[in-house]
Amino acid sequence: MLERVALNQTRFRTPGLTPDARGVVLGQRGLLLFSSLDRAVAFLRAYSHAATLDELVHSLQITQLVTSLKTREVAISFVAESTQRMDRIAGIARLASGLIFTGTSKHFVKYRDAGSPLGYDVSASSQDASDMVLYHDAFEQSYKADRTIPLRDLILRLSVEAAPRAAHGEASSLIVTAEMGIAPAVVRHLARAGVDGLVSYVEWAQDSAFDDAPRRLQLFALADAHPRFISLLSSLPGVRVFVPVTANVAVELGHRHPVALDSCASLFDAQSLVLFRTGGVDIVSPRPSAVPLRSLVKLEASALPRVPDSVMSSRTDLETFTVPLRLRPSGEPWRNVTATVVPMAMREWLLKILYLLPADILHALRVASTDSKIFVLSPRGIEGVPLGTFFTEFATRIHVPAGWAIEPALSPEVLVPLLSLPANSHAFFDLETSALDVVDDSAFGPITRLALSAIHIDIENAEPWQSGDSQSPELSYGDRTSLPLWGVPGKTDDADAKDNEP
Amino acid sequence: MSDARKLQATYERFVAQFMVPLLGGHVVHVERPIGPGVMPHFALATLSDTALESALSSALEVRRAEFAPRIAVTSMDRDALALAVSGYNLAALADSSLSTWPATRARPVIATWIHTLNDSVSLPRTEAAAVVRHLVVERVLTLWRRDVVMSNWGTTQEFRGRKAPRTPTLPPVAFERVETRVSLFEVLDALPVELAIGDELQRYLASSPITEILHWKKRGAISMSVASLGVLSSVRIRSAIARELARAPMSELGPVLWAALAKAHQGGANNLAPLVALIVKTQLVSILSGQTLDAVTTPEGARFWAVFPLLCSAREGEGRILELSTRDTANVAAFAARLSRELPRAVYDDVRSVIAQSLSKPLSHTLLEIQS
Repeated sequence: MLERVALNQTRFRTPGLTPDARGVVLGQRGLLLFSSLDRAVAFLRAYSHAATLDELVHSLQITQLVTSLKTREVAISFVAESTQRMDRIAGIARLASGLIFTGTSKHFVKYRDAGSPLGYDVSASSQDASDMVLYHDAFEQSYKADRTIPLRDLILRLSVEAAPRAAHGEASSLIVTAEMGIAPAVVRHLARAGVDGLVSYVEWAQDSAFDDAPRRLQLFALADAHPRFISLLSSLPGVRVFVPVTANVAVELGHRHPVALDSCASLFDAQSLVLFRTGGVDIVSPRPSAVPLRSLVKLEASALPRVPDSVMSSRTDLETFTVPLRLRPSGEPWRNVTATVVPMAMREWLLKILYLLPADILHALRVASTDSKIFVLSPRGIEGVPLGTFFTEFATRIHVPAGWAIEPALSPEVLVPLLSLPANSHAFFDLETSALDVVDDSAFGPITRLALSAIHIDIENAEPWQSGDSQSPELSYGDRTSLPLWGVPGKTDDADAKDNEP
Repeated sequence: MSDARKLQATYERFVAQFMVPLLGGHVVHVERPIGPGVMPHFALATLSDTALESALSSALEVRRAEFAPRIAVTSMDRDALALAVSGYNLAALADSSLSTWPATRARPVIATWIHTLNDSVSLPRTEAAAVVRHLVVERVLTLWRRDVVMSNWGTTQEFRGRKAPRTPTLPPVAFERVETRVSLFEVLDALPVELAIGDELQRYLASSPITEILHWKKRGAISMSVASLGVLSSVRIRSAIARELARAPMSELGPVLWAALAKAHQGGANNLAPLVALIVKTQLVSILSGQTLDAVTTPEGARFWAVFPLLCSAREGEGRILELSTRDTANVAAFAARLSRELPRAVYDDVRSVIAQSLSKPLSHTLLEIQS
């Protein structure tokens, strides 16, 4: 059924196939075939973590297919664009037990593999009157399209999964929803504690006629909430805490969405807020107007009592017994240099270097960023990125500036319990302040994705372009006349007009 | 047909063929001019066609919502209608068919009618009146005409504002078709000087104070009249104007706004609080929309920007002028601090003295008024 494509072959029996510059045959679209929807979801999950779904979203189409035996399969099709892109997608699709095809409209032939590096062509194309025909070396199958599944609906239907150790990490803000009964108490408590934030009121219509009233919540957008409040709020019944993933998408604290939502940010309307929680998803659209939290607090005449100074001073007594960790220059050779910390001011340089790095080094780089620094990790060695301060891995996930040593000279076994770091977090000793920068491992992602979606986003306040013709009114005149004032209504000065009348 | 019926038919035709497409941004149709004698009827007339009335209301509503969403405009008053008829006559005056005898004798008459109509318009008394006449005048300013000139080796045919045939009507020997787009005001500027249409256009523009302020690019200056200060004293109109002004680069607008304040100050005006408020509001909108400071190159530009930190640092007014979200407040405060750092002290002192002398009350009182 399938024939291997030969080098320099230019004519193919499969409609829509053309060779690229390397001679690899490629149709206009790529197609992945999965035996079930959960396999297709597994592919989307894997792809969203390895690359960005946004580059596929505009052309991605998920279709449920029916064979002549009424069995159902799922196809994901997209614009193929190039063989490099197809190779990347194919690698991930094979992990999710998917079959990879390429074609243009109806006929899709198996995409290239190790058995035929230039791809495949069919010996004879099918004349079957179906929506789609797939040619594989093991089968030739025709399909009818049953229904199309929008990607956004699919992502909204997926349940969040528990991730108990996923703390709020580097998130500078949180979103909290509170039922109406408990909301005033939450407002008072947060305001008393000096937490800064905005409050808005959201309401959803009843899901069914059996609900007695619309669902109402108060929505808090909190900035820089102390971890103590986060644990308190998340333990309250009727209160849910969400960690923003993008500007308009948040996931409930302690959970994560199966798909990396930051890699498909374009699916969600900028004017709405999507909250993924256990048991469903809440979509707030459009965003309601928000008021400062402190403006909702009932004013009281008496001020809050101050903490006596004597209570506060007892803490400083304890600190006199502590011995601070210090860094000292070390003459030992550098070993295990696996991280670098680049100041945010050098971000542009880092991005320029990405263009120069070979693929294997680029794929190994993982990066996380804060307001002032970019942390870059590479288990193979960081020498490929000649920027910032290099770090050696002193103990597992504890990084010390290269050429420096910790003083007092503690062993890793002693140091790790003393630092009592959160699980799965990386610690970097800051050379200037001797402080410890702790970055959660979940904050690190492939630089190939984060460099595009997390570090280098410039949000422009752009408006749809409108041509001048649609805005400015155009003049058109009636028929020509040699007596333009003849019969004109509202003439006041007859003497002037008389000359123009017959 | 009786006179009353003729007038009503004229009114309905005027609304359907000119007003609705003018406000909606479509093709307006201009036939014979309309004399000022129709105004008593137009001011009281109602449309017999409810669909047409609905089209006019919705076109007006769309324009109003874009410009001043917080000001309600229910209908067009007599003055706005007079300006619309005047605009119609300006378009009729630009008809190229009036350039040939005997039609050319109509132009002085039409110019007189425009003068009469403009003369009958008084200062706007309400926010709605100021807004509705701005919506009309602003649309008239954007009118344009499509000119098609078809020629071959011996003949030329011109279709100025009239539909040109799609297929050549001339023998195709060295045939050429040139299509250009020309604004109404370019056509009017080219009319004979005896018509004095330039002065009439100034008066037409001045009859809508909002349009006069927003049309600063054409004149390169903003003149502060009693009517201009009157509309600026309305917080809602001022906000709408500031939003429109902030679309322009501050490197161009800033010196013009400062020059307007300085000129009004030199002219002896002593209560320029609305103009100061407009400057601050425009700066605030432009700062929050991400404009940068790179463009402070002229002394006027520096004085313009010096107004902002001066008002931000006024002790009593600080809390009022910065009623923004926390993030925006931080951005604005950082911008003001940067201005204070980068602008020379002499500029700062100069601006402080001009503003202090321009206001009839202490600065802190004015700030409260500005934000109230």
